[in-house]
Amino acid sequence: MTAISYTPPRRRPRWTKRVGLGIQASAALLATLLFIAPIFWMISTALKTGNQAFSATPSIFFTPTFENFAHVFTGSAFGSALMTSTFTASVSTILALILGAGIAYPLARRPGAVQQQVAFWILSLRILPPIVVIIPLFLLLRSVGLTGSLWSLIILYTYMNLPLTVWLLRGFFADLPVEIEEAAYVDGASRLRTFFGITLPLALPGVISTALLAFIFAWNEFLFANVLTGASTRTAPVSLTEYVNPVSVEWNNIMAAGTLVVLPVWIFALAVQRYLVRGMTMGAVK
Amino acid sequence: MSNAADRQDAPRSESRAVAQDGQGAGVEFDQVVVIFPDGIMALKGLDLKIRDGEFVVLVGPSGCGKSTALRALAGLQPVSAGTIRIKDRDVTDLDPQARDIAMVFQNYALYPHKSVYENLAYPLRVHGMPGGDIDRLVRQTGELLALTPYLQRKPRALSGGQRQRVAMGRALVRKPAAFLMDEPLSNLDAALRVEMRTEILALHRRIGVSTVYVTHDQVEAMTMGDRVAVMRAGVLQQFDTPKALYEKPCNIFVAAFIGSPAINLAFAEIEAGGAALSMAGQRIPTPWPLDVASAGRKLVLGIRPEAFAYDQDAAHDIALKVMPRLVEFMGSEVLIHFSVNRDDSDDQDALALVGEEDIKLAKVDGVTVGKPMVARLDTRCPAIAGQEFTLWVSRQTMQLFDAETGATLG
Repeated sequence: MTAISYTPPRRRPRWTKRVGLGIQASAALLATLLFIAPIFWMISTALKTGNQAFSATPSIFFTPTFENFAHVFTGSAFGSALMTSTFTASVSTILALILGAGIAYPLARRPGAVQQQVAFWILSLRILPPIVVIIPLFLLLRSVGLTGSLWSLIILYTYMNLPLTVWLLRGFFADLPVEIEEAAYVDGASRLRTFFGITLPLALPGVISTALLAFIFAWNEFLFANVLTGASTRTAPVSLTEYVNPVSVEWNNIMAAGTLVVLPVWIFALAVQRYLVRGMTMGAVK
Repeated sequence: MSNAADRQDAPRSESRAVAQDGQGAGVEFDQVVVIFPDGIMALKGLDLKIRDGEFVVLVGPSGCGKSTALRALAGLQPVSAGTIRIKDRDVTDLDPQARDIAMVFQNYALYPHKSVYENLAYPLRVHGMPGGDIDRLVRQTGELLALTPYLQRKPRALSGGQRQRVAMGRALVRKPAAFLMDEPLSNLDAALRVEMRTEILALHRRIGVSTVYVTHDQVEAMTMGDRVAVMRAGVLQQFDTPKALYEKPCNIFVAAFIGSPAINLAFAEIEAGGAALSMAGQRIPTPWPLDVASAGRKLVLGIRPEAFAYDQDAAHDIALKVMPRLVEFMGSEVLIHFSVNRDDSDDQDALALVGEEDIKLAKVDGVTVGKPMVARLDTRCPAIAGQEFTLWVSRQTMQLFDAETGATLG
């Protein structure tokens, strides 16, 4: 026996750490399930027959069938609606990016009180709820003969996306050190050449994240599309309502079509994932 | 290396000859005024004539307008009034692209998405040079700056010194009418800075293009410049060789800014008869005749730390009794910090003399009139801290300044 007693420093026992980790993991899992459940439900229902889809006791294990997808493509106008959506969303995204970059760049490079006001005014356009303007817009577009035309949607989506693209791109451009552009000017490059050769490639991650957000907005938009399109110019979200008719609600077909609506955005996001992460963190990492 | 030398068509010695004739103007500022949008006047009528092939350093404390002058020369800062000429061509209203200049930025401003090779090639591509020539020039420049192993790397994979070389290379790769450098060494560590200093000078000697170099470091300015322009608050103070700045500063600001340790400044009064000054009760004969009528007038006496000796000799013949406070042994020399007995009221005068602007500056640099003095002496100097000692001052190197305006007298 010695007189020296050693008190080890107070330490959290290992098991509480494990429990803490366990709680964290369960919470993460729960949140993930919560988000995945509707998607799982959609995809699984899309693979069921009409009767299975309507069954009061939903089955987890069943023989998948692809006939809903076949039906959606052949038996209805959904295929063409998908093409329409792709066209309007892509064109309006590209337009919003080009116009947005053109507005955002000077706002970013000449910061001042006036520019701040202009930027806020642009943002305020986005604050207006679309439902407020839908009737005046409808009348306006009818008077110029654009109702039922895809161009009405392209114009509106571009207009709705511009505040978003201007604000996001302004931030990305402002983050680029101005000296790099000045170096290009001194090296002899014109402003246009500098913008396309130096500024834009450097802001590319930001541009791509912006593009994705604008695309998703235009792709998902329902209100304008529902009011302003005709039978031949329906977009995919509007076209989904076709399967709800006075006789029945074709859940299996809705879910198959819904899966097809999600797919392109999902593929786009996966393809640009590398840029997306950089775009989201661009300001912080530098 | 030899290839790179071959393409130099104006070696430095030749351009020097031209410069001495006063013929070829490299860069010329003529009454250039820059007013910022917030109303601040950053350049108040800058006049500067840089000879062709000359290496000129703009130096001054921060906010003195040296960077603004460089940016105005580059065309990155609009000029409110005046004219800027590069090789006798008026470029005042030209865009940077049209000025035929190359610039090295403080943070290098390399193109991060391009390889070193493409960074070097960019100025040539922009000027529409054929691919074969671009490749040849890029490889020559890469070799000149020892960048050959790194040509395919992206800037982020380079060290600070290597990035600096790429920035230099991008400026060197084509032969511009003028080189502009904005504190290019300030992001490097001290050892590398000294190394790059000599390297930049060697490159300049090889290429012989007029260079305007901005720095806040007076040592860099003195060691690098053929001539140095000292600026303060948008006004050019003095534009001369480093030797002239050191020996004949035009005012107290330049005297205090140039030299390390800084010049010793103390108040002195003209004695009756005008043959000498009295400083803190000690008599100091001057080499210049002083205005007899102004006896009693206050002046500022400037003595360089190097102007002292611990023994009397032919040059050092003015005795000054001092009280060493601290004797610092530096290895090759000793620095003696001492005070000349003086009234406290002298300190108040010091503040009154130099004005608000200088006081801030003096605090930064630790320079204000009436501060304890420093002598830089041989290590054999027997001075001991705390014991009165006689130092001998060379009257030829003494400088006198007007106590009102700070202008150099005599």
